Parts: sequence; C-alpha cells; structure tokens
Amino acid sequence: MSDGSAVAIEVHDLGVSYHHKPVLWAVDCDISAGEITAIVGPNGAGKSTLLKSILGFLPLSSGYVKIHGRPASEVANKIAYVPQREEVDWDFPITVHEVVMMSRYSKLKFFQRASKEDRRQVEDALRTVEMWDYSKRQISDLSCGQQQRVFLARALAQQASIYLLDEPFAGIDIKTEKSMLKVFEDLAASGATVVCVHHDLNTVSTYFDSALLLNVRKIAFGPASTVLSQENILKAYSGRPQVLTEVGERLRARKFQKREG
Amino acid sequence: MEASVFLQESIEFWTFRDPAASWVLLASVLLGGIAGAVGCITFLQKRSLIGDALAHSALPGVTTGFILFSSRDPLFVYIGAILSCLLAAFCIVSMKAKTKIKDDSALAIVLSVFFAIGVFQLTIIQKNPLAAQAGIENLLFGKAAAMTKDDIKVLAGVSFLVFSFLVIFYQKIKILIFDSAYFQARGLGRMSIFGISLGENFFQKLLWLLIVVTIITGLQLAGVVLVAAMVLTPAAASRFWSNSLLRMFYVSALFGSISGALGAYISYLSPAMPTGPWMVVVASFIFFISAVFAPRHGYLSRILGRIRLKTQTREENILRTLFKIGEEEPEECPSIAWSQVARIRDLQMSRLKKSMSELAKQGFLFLDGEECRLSPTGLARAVQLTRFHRLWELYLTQEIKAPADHVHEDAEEVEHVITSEIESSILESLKDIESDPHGRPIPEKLEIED
Amino acid sequence: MGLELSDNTWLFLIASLVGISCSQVGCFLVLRRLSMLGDAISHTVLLGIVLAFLITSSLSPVFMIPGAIIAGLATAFLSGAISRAGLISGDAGIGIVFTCFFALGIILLSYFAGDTHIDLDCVLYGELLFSPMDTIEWRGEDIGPRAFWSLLLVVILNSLFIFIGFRSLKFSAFDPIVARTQGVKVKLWHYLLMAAVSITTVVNIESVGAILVVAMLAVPANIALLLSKRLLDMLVLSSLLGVASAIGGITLSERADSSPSASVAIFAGLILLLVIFLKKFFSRAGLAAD
Repeated sequence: MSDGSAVAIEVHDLGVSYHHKPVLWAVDCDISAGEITAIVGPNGAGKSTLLKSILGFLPLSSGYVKIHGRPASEVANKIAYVPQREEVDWDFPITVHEVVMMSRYSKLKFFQRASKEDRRQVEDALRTVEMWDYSKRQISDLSCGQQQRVFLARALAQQASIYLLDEPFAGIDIKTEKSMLKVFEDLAASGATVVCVHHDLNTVSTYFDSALLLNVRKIAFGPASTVLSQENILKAYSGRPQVLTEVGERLRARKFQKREG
Repeated sequence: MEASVFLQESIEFWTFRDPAASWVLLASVLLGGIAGAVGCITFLQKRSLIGDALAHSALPGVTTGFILFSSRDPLFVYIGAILSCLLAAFCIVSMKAKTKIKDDSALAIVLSVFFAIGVFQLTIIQKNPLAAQAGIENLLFGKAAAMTKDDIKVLAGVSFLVFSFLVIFYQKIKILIFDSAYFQARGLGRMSIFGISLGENFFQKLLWLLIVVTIITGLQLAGVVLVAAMVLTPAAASRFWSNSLLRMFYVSALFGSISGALGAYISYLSPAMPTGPWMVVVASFIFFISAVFAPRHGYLSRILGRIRLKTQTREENILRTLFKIGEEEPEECPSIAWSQVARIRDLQMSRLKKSMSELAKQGFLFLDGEECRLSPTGLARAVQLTRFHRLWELYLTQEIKAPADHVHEDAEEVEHVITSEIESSILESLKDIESDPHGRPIPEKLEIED
Repeated sequence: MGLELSDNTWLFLIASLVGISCSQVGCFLVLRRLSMLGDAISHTVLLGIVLAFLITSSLSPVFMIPGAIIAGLATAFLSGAISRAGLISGDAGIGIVFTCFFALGIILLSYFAGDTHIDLDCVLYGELLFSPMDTIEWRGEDIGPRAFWSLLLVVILNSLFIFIGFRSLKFSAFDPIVARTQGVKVKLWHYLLMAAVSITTVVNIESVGAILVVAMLAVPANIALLLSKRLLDMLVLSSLLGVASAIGGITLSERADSSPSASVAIFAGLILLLVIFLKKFFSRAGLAAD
C-alpha cells in the first residue's frame, strides 16, 4: 500500500479519440492515494472516457496513465470498476451473491472453486453495504439504490487499491447516498483511492477531497473547495472552445480524407 | 455455353425480344427498386433484420387464407399476408416493450414461431389433393419465372404506391429517422382524413404497412430469406456513397434495380439458376465493391488516405526540421546534410530519399548531392508549419493549462491541420504571442515574392 | 444388445435432444443479445455443408461438421467486422453476411443439383418424421437412429463446454469490462461459443431443419429468462422446456397429422405466450411469485 500523499493515479498528457475525433485533450492530473476524487463536468465532457482510459481499455492517442507507477494493464485486478447504471443488463439472471463473487475470479485458477476466504470476503463486502440479507435475490428485484450497493460490494470484495465509479449516486435516495459515502471515506482512510464521476455540483465540496473539472480538456484540478470557483464552473459549462472543436473535426476529416470546406 | 449463343441470348434479353423474359426483368427491376428505397428506412432506423422476421411471418397469413377460402386469388394472398405481418410486427414491438425479452430475441421468436405455424398449415394443405399448392411453395423460395401478368400488374401498382408515398412524405420520414423524439414531441405522427383524427402514431403505423407491403411483394420473386437481403443489402451499400437521405434513397433504389436486372439476366442465360439468389449475390457483390472501393468511405480509400497522410506528414516534418536547423544559424536557408535530418527525425535513408526528391519536384527544396536547401516556397511553408506548431503549443499551455513539456506531441499532429481561420481564432484567445512555451520565437508569416 | 424402441419413442427422444442441445447454447445467445446470429448461422451452415460436399464429394459428417463450423465462424467474424468498420451499424452486418452466404449455398446447390443429395426443403423445414428411420449399426446390431446418437454427442459436448467455461461465459455475458479486468478472455469465449452454436446447428439441421433450430435456440431460453433468477436455473429450465415442447409438439403433430418440426416450434411458442400472460396476470393481481 502507498503512504498518505503518494500519487496513486498519474494521468499524463492524456488524449483519447473515438473514430479519430478527439474527446479528451491533454489531460494531466496526479490523483493522490487516500483521497476521494470527483470528476465533474457537463454531458459529453469525457468523464466516463477518462475513467475507462484509467482502467486501461481504451486506445490512447497521446500520453499515458500509470497506476502506482505501472501501466494499468499490468495491475488490472488492482482496479475495481463500477459501470454506469445504463451499461448493466439488470434483467440478467444472476443473484446478488454471484455478482459480488465475480470480483474474486482473477484469484481463482481454472476450475478451482471459490474458497472459504473468497466467501468470507464476499460476505464482508455485502455486510459493509448492508446487502447481506439480499444475497440470494436476483438483481432485477432490487431497488436502484440496492443495485448500486451490490456493485459497490463487488468492487469492495475485489480488495483493490483503486476504485473507479461511474455516477455511483445516480438515481438513488439520500440515505443510500450517505451510507455509500461512508464506505468511500473508510476506503480512503485505509489508503485506497476512490474516483467517482459525479454530476451534482452542490455536493462536490462536501463529499469529495479533490475534484477534476473537465470539459474535453482539464479546466481545473485540486482540492474540491477551490476547484469549483465561479470562474471555473462558468468556463466548464459555457460550451467547448471553438478552436478545439474545429481542430478536432479537422483531425477526424483528415483521417477520413474528406475534402476541405 | 458457346460465345455466339451467349451473345445472341444476351441481345435477345436486353432488347426485350422475349416477352416472358421482359416481364421478369421488369418485375425484378421494380422490386429491387422499391425494396432498395424502403430498405433505407429500416436500415437507418437500425431495424435491419426486421425484413427477415416479417418475410417469415407472412407465411401463416397466406396459408390461413388458403384454408379459409380455398383460393389462390392474389387478393386473398395479399390481405392474409399483410394481416399476419402486421400481427408479427405488433408482437415484436410489444414483446420488447412489455417483457424482459430483448429486441433480437423478439425477432427470432416471432420469425420462427410464425413460420412454423405456416409450415404446420402447409403440411395439412399438402394432404389435400385438390389444393394447388404451387402458389404457396413459390412464396418460400420465390420464383420469378412463374410470375403471371396479373402478378406484374399488382407489382407495378404497389411500386407506384410505394414511390408516391416516399415522395409525398419524404420530409416526415426524414424527421422520424433522424430525430424520432422530436417527431413524437411535435406530434407529427398524428394524421387525419376529412377532419377525422386517425390517432397519435398513425404515420408510424402507415410506415409499417409500407414496409410490410414491400416485403410481401418481394416474397414472390425472391423468397422468404432472400427478400430480407433485398431490403437490407442495397441500402447498406448505398450508405458508402451518400451522406444525405435523398441521395441514399436514389442510390439504394438504383442498386436494388441493378441487382434485380442482373439476377433476371443470369437466370435467363441459365434456366437452372434461380433469380432470387442471384439478385442477392449481385447485391452482396455491390455491397462488397462499395465497402472496398467507394471514394471517401470505402476501405481502400481510407487505407490510401492514411498512406498519403503519412507521406505528406513526413514531407512537412522534413521541411520543418530543415527550418529548425537553419534557425540556429546566421545564414538564411543554409545547406544541410541529409544525414542530419535523418538523425533528428529518426527516418530511414530510403524513405528520406523518396520524400526529398518528391519535395524537390514540388519546388520546396534544392538538392545538392548529399545536402539540401529550402527554396523560398519551401521556407514559407516551413515557417507556416513552425508557426502553427508553436501557436498550438502556446494555446495548449495557456488555454488548457497543459504543462509545457507535454504539448509537443500534440502539436506534432495538429500543426498539419490548422487553417488560417483556426489560426485567427487561436490568436484571438491568446494574450501573449511573443514566444512558444519553450521560449522559442513564433515566426511571422512569410509572403512569397514571385 | 439391440435397442428395440418404437419409431414414436425415438421421435420423442430425438426431439427432446434437439430441445436440450439448442437451448444450451441458446441461453448464452439470448443473454449476449445474439439470437439473430443464431438464426443467421443456422442458414449459413448450408453453404458450409454444400462446399464441404463439393470439395470432398462425401456427405460424411467428418467433412460436413468442419465445413459448418467454418461457415458459422465466418458469419460471426464477418458480421462483426462489418459493424466494427463503422457506417454499418448493429445487426445489419449479420443480415448482409447471412443472406449472401445462404444465396451462394442455394446457387451452388441448384448448379450441382444432380450430384448432391442435399434436399433444400429438408434443410429448411426438415423432416423430423423421417429421422428415426435412418438407423446405424454397431457391431452388427441396429442401435437406433443416427440422429439420436449424434444429437446425444452434441448434448454431451455442449454440457462439457458449459461446465468448463461456465464462469467465463457467465461473466463475459454479464459484464465484459469487469470480466476483462478479472482476466477472462472475453473474445476467445465469444468465438468458442460461436463454434458451439455452429456444431449444434449443423447436427440439428440435418435431423430437424432450420426453422425448428431457430425456434429452439430462441424460445425456450427466453421463457426460462422470464422465470429464472440464476443462470444455472435458466440453463436447466430451458432444457426442460425444450423437452416439454418436444413432447407437446409431437403429440400435437400426431393429432393434426402435420409436420412434427413445426408443431414443436408452435408448442414452444404457446408455452411462451402462456407464461407471458400468467406473469402479467399475477403481477397485476399483486401476487407476483418470488
């Protein structure tokens, strides 16, 4: 584990393109271990893209991401990821227990059954999010907040050092929100790094230690209270700079060999 | 087949001397045309496989009609087929909306169960010796050669209706495809006749009817599985040739018609060959050609573009490197050894040589043995590229707050795409343009004197 | 030890094996939202069979099955490649590839019609009815229909495949991204599944025809999806539903004197309809069974 202020995630000059069109420009930030960090920005700002590139599954057009000084692909099972609600098939026939058990599988060999230790970790994780009583339920039978907690439990059971969550508070009640936040705080206190994509500007400075304000490029990064200045917010939410959009379009057009004009 | 026979038959076919063959040709062209045009709608609505499902679902309508009325009258066949296709469409839509069953499963379920009902009834009909089942059998695999004059009259009528519908409602279809939420919000689906309202989503229902009618018409020619291709493949092929909906309609209808004509032609030359499958193979071939060779969107043009891009980038980089080396020397445009450029740009000598001679041909360089020198036009271009490079670095550090040591990589790419308009918007947002983040001067634009 | 069972019993057994083998792979197709790829593959194996025959001039399964697997994998791969290239989205790739392969299959078949013994009608809506008559011998004894033994082999192979790959298949279907962080080879399992679908399809088509295969791939698995809360339940339940449709359908076909294949598919459809209505009824009555 890393000591208090060590850099857990180093994002260096990160650029990402979809179909040759840049969606992230030169993002730089060093996210510290033991902190809860928010990624904030308007729709289409590239928040989920940033999270997925930290996870190491997106081709980067420039820069790199390092997790504790190593490429993400080498430490994939040290990173726990909670996808956005919309990306999950909630009708899938799978129980709460099975979902959480999924996080233990990289530790199992081919054909090896889950050990007592695995079961204990799964139980611990489910108890932490107060979902142990529901472990035999199918995920489609749960409420929104319960579903989010199950996915959080899966991340916990992975015993990761980095936690990446895409909009964990979307569509849940305030009580669940508070209890999940408590879990994040405990994780951070134990030296883990928590990064959430977040959409509620009002709660950023109370919930998070630091924040990254993003809109295609980095607007500001630092302690949550200072990042969300009036000026920064205005800059992030007043649309993308014309220059970036135009250059992005031309880069894409060049790759597809379109005529000018 | 001997060449002379082949030629003679080809001439006979294309000069419409053989009336029967001409009817088949006409039918195939019409069918290919309407299927191609209507296919654009389902293709763009991302319902590409609906044609497959609906084509299979027509069968029970036909067989039920036959059992109830013991008639092969095309009218009964049509009405029965339309009703069962509409029922199938309803099942697909409501299964997806009201149960956990997903889109693709709903299609597969409806397709197989409806078709099974048809086959079930067919095996019963076949037991009836009086039943002339030929008409129904043709539905399964299609038989263009068996089309009667009546069938063709129906086809011509349907084609007319379909094309008129597309022309009249082009604007509505366009909005529905590109922004269905807006379409709903504006209530554009509402229609009325003589002041009688026909319901909220009447237009969408009408569109379903259009698709169903097209597919059923196509069944007789192409058969159950292959009519699905006629409402999909030409539309997909046309996507490579067009960016606008109207053009896509034209191109797709054209591709459909060509497939129809060639399918009919091949089966005329060799009567053992079925028309439907050949139509599909021709359409698939057109798709393949489009995907590979179409200008701009085709695979080959993208690969060539990428190669051209690389060469161009390499040439521009060489110009810029020559400028940068010269920048540090007192003399304007000194002679520079090739090997120095190769070292800085990390280029293979053979590649460098090729780019150098290309640049010299374009008048950007003077070559002199193993050395080279920028020409005035070359200098102007190199200055422009360097200016763009450094302006972009400055923009990234000032506007995006990127650290100075990170911006070079990005500028290496962007310098090649900046236009003078972009340059002026960059200049507007920058405060201080004395030097780039690394302290090097940003060169002023050079005017070339002739 | 001659196996002396009546044709009717064999018919039930064969139809049940069809139901089981198809729903085994069908469950994963449904969960991966690839049901239509199942439909596509069940048509393109025709091309594989015809090509294998034209190359080897033999209708032996030793050549037909590899032919079918290649055609099936080619369908899966090409349709994926078309949609990955951009411009052509989603299902369109599947539709373009399978109709093309199918048309080529029919053309080859009609060109060499005299030489092949492949009957197109038979491939498309098959004749379950005749499959008990095509028997094989072992050590000089008649041990029953060939279709029964080949389907049994498929069921065993599928069971082994699912047993070995259960975890990987489950999680690459449920959450491919996290599955990858856990070291699951998502792509490899995708193509293994496609190979399993191809084998299942070709052996089934030979005995029952394409239309029943498509129905059995999609219908029992979807009924099971509506009723089960775990993947294991879904697999077991859909196999049972496959058997139930087989028994019900064949009984129906005897009564109506009609195609057994079609009847089995219809019976499966009826069960689905019943389940949907019962579920709606119970949930409306507020009695939703847990």
